[in-house]
Amino acid sequence: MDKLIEEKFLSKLSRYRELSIDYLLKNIPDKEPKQYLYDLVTIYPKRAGKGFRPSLCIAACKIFGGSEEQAMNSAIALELYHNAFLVHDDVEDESDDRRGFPTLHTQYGVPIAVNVGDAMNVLSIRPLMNNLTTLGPDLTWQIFLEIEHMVTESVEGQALELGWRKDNICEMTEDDYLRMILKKTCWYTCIHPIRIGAIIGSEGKVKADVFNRFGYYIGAAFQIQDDLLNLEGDKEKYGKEICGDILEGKRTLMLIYLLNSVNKKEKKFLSSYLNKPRIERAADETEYIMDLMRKYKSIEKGRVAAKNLAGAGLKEFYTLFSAFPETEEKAFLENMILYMINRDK
Amino acid sequence: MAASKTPKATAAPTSSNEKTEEKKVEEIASKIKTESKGVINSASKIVFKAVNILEEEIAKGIVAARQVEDKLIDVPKLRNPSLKINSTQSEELLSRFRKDVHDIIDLFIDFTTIAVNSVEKISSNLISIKQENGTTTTKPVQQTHIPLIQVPQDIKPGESLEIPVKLENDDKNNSKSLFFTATPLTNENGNTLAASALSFSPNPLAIEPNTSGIVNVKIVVPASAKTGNYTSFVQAKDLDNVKATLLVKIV
Repeated sequence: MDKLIEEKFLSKLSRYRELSIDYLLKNIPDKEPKQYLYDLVTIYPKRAGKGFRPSLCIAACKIFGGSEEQAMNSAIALELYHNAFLVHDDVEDESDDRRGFPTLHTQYGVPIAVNVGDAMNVLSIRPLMNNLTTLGPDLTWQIFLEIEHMVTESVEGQALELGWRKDNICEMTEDDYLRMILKKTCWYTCIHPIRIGAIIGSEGKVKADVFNRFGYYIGAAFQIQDDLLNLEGDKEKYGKEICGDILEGKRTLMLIYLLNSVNKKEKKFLSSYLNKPRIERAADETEYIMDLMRKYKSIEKGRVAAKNLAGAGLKEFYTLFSAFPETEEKAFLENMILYMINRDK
Repeated sequence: MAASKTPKATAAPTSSNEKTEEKKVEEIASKIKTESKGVINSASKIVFKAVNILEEEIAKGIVAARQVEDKLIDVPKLRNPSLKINSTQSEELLSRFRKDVHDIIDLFIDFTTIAVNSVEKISSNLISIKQENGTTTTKPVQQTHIPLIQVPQDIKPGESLEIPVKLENDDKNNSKSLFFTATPLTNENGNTLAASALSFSPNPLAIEPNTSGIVNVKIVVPASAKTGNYTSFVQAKDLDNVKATLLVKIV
């Protein structure tokens, strides 16, 4: 029954994605050095990502009366930042797969990958500068402030998580996790794309803070679901190695629930596993952790948390958008949350 | 009769299919919403935690910003009304922020003022072709970016406006003859106005070494023009370093 909602949401998402990726690719310089820079800059955007951030930005802009064209420079800047984060994140996490293919650093080595990520960050500045001619100096500056906050929060969130892994922190709470994903993921995945879209569409008249909760709830729900897919998903559909997060020692909500549920002996094992370099973590140990997660219902608890947050997102959506006319873009946002609430895999 | 029936006959199935699908989607959405009521209304612990964390983090950000402000910005000086920037745009922004009842309002006002100041600084660096407003001004010419010439007032369809733009020839030895051309104007919705809506006088403009000259850019908006923000790319023929983007708002 929910297939139709899913199809409608995914088809709109895919349209926004194509639109923004086309425009993004036009913004990549057609010059040397290609082999180890500009050709590689296009690799991640061309892979089958969701295009979540540009879509949210464009949809929010249109809901507030703006056009796709007005949102496009900011939308592709968001996507470029996202791809830069992914390239660097994959290096930091020593990930093997991204969107169904080997990560950039496993294909080309860490130095090239880091430089490509840097280039993506730099390339995102130009479209934001181009806003000057399409949106004028007032909105351009507002969007720069949004981006500055977004990037700062993301690197701070990443530092929190990397610190937990480096210091092998095993005493964590749900609060710690929520704070970390707010900073690392939610600001840049949902909150700022919606804020920026609404600012553009309303010509700066909207109070962007009203979207913080909405963006946080759906961003957190999406992140937890993404982590659930990493544990139980289909590798072909998911595009990353299954249980890769456990192998990387990533402090997901499910792992935190587990660390807070196990007995002393099991905790000792978990702490020792997480303290090892990734290469020394054996497959049977990883499988044992999965067994523990099933035993202590960590996955189930994670699923409930994601649903609760998505539900809160839906409630927030009705509060924020009920007064707006029924448009495709409004339906897109609503379908996205309904899809998330019902997304079991 | 037959001709009028044909389109109806072909259009009806599509429209009915669309309606059926829309209805289905609505039904499904309604079912999910009903099923999700428990989730929505449960207001679970995790959601309350999330709200608190969000508020805490925003507050932390405000404190951090205030610390940076104290370190870098002379707040009393900035708040001194006699030193306020004389930009109507900044005043609009400030009054918009003043409407906000949030307790960080002062900080935002300060940041906005700084932001507008900074934008103006950036703009003045960018503009090598300077708009003339009646008073004589001199500015060093920098050619690293394409300047923006923003028409100072909105224009209605059927109206025209002339803007004096000052150009400086900082070459100490050679005079310059500038012949101006412009691309058609395009707005955010893809509507265009022919390039002939813009004219330049004099054209060409001759400027002696180390002196300046003024070209009057006239915009004649056709009565049929659609509203929007129109841009045109203006440049001088055979001179790579004389170009600008012209921005005009038709209301």
